[in-house]
Amino acid sequence: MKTARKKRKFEWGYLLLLPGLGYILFFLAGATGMMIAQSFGLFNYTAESRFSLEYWRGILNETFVDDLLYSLKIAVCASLLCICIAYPLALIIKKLPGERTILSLVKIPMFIPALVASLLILNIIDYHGILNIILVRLQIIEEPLRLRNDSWGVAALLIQAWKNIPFMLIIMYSAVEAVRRDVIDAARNLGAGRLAVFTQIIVPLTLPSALVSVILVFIRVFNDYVISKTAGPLYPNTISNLMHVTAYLYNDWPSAACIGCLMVITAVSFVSAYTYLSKKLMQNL
Amino acid sequence: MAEGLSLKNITKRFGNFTALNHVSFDIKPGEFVTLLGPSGCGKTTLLRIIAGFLEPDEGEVWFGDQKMNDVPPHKRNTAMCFQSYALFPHKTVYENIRFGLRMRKVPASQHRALVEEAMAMVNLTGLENRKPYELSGGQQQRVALARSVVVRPNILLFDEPLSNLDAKLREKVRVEIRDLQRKLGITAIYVTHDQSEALAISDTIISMNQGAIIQKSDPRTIYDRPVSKFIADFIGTANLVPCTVTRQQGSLFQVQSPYGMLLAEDKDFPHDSGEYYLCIRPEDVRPVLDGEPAGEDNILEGVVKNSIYMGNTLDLFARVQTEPLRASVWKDYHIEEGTRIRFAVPRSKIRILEG
Amino acid sequence: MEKEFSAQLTRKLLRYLVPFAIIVILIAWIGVPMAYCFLWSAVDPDYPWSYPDPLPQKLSLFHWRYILENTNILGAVGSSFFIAGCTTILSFLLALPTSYALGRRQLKGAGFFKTLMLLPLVLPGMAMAIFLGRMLMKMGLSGTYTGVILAHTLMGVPYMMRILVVSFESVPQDLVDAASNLGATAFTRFAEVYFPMVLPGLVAGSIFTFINSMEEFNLTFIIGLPTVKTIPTVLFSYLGESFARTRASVVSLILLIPNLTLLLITERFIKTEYMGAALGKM
Repeated sequence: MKTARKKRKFEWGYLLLLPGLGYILFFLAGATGMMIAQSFGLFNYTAESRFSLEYWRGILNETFVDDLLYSLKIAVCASLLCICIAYPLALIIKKLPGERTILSLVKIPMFIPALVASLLILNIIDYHGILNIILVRLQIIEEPLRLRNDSWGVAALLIQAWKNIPFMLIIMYSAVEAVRRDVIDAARNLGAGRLAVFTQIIVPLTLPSALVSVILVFIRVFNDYVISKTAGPLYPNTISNLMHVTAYLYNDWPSAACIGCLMVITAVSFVSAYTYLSKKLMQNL
Repeated sequence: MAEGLSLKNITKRFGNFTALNHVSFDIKPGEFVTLLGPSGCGKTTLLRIIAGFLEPDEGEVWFGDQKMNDVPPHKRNTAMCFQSYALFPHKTVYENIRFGLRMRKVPASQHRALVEEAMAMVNLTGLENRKPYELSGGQQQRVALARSVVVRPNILLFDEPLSNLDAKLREKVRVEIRDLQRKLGITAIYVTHDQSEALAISDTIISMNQGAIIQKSDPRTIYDRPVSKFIADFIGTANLVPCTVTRQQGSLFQVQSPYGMLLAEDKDFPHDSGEYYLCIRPEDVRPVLDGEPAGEDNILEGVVKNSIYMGNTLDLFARVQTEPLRASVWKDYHIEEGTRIRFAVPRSKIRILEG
Repeated sequence: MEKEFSAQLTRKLLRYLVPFAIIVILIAWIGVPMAYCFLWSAVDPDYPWSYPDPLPQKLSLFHWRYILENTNILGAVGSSFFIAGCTTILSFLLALPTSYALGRRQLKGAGFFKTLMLLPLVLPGMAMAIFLGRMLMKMGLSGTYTGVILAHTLMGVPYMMRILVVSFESVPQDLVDAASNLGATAFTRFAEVYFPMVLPGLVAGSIFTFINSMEEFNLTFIIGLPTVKTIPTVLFSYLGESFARTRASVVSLILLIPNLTLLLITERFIKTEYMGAALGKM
């Protein structure tokens, strides 16, 4: 009798998971299942549906490799650039009067959609943008720079930084703020100078957040479609773009599905390797 | 209506840890009972089982002549004062106190009068519209108390309610709790680890350790006649040393201890001889000045190592033979550290305890 | 004496100048692009703004009028709001019971479920959009409002749950016990203790979900077109497919105004901890 009652209570809790988690899993499983099935030639809309490995064989072509390398390049550069600016900025802001005002201002780009961010920054860095005008007037450069759709992807990188630095700053600021005052006081009391407090207390306590925020920005940039599409190079572009073009322009759905699978695999293996390495790093500290 | 309470063979396990091991006791209607013990002894678990927040693995909970095991917490008509006060932060003082009345479907027309009466009982009149965070710790404690008594519960439960107050306030509020409980005649169960609080407030103290009851008796008995070494040590302070006991005649025992050969008179000690523990309360030790007669009392000779002036007493830490002896003596003695001194301990003040 | 005074002065200057400088840089960092966007949206087509003019020669509302009169932008604004509203309500209804279970019930594997619920935010947006689109097409929901709302909700539920789980976890157990001790039933405990305590989290979660849905591009672009148009998809037609800077600026501002207004009005509700909860541990 008693055990029966306990058991019923137990199941009731799991039942409550259904609306939220069940919804997510239903659609995710559907979408992923569709992706995997299509990559093997099933559910094909444009040709005969049958199981086949031919799409997987043809996938590792030059375009794919170029686009993959471009996506990884922008993602790595953007996340490193962001942390290099956001981490010190979070530490400085914490010390300043008026930190609330600064934080409110900083949050704004987080709520500006990627498309709009792209346009806002393009307006500044374009051929006739304010940046070029100032640089030419100051005689730093002779000819205005052509940054939009440049072949390296500087414009895309700048826009990613503009959008993601605030995001990272908020995470890092929470981490810096979470370092308890009495821990710092205790360290000072035990004879630690400003530098020692920084290296021995603040860095070890905020490093986990820094490592996490880097991988979050990496994933966001790696998965990006609109920013590189509007401001990035014409070739190569992101994997997301390649997938979209393959599916909608060339109507090659199975290959697009293969690209999607590879994209997920790349992202997952990068995140796993990174998580493993940062765990090792934290253990050694 | 005050109700008695019976626990029968309560056992509770958390994984491999046995928090309560076959605990049974009865409480009379209107009695003020304290569960006293060190942290982890199971006293809070027991209180939460009585309130219904936890289900016992074995055993029965009876309120009066009703078995409560399957009654959910909100139908038990107990009222609990939490250590954290657990005031609803989004409700005013008035709404906090009224909550229980609304839940019990007391007609709304009576609410104001009942809440005001309860607030007057705990001296809170005038704070109805404050939010909990606008009150001091002592005031929050009183709101919690008013919220509990306003519903006229059958049993009042207290979970270390005073531990967040400062010492002075604690002594004041515990007298108020005692008075209130007497006036309303509600059965009360009070959990604490503070032995002086337990002595001051209770009709009965249930002393617990490692999930079992060690002794259940009134404050005077538990202090003067502890049944074990653990209780003597936990409640108040005591000099405890191992000893060998032989019955001389009647209630007179000869005790061979590190303090030397002593005579003890203990009416309750059932055995004739064996290895036990000797307990001497520091306040039962008195210094014998030169030329003063000691009468029948035991004489212990030693050297004062530390002499600490406490204001109301003078605490001496002496060494008798090889064993330390603590004595609390009259505050006006002037006894220097290093003094060689004789202490007298009356025969009737030496207790022999099992380990 | 003199030296000490000047050292003190320097310190004071630093104390006020550095934050001042940072605020100025920030305003430039955010304000200048905004101002440029306004200027571009108001360029007169008869006097084109070209290199090396730092400012346009003449301003007019021509492009605003053009966009409002010749395109169905107001319809897109309407459907954006409609979709965001429905998404928020649906996400709230789906997330509430699950967040309660994850935050309060000591379920086995809660940590695993909490990771699982973040998957939609981590998986590649375009890949999810394309193949979710295929799945919804199979269900006959492609190009319908229902399909778009269902897809947006997939992104909204994790945001909502992240914040709500934290809110539920932070309700002290003593309060719940006190309520049931005083006679509150399960329903009353929820209505009078849990609900008021998680309300700030609920508001923050709703704002996040709403803004997120207003901004969502990939899903609407793939699933909604050609019938369902929201502000971001209209914007993309001026930015990605062809580049029409002036019109894109107008549409950008139309998209930004409701979002930033909402953010400014409700900033009080969004404590930094919710921000951290929503973004921090994705």
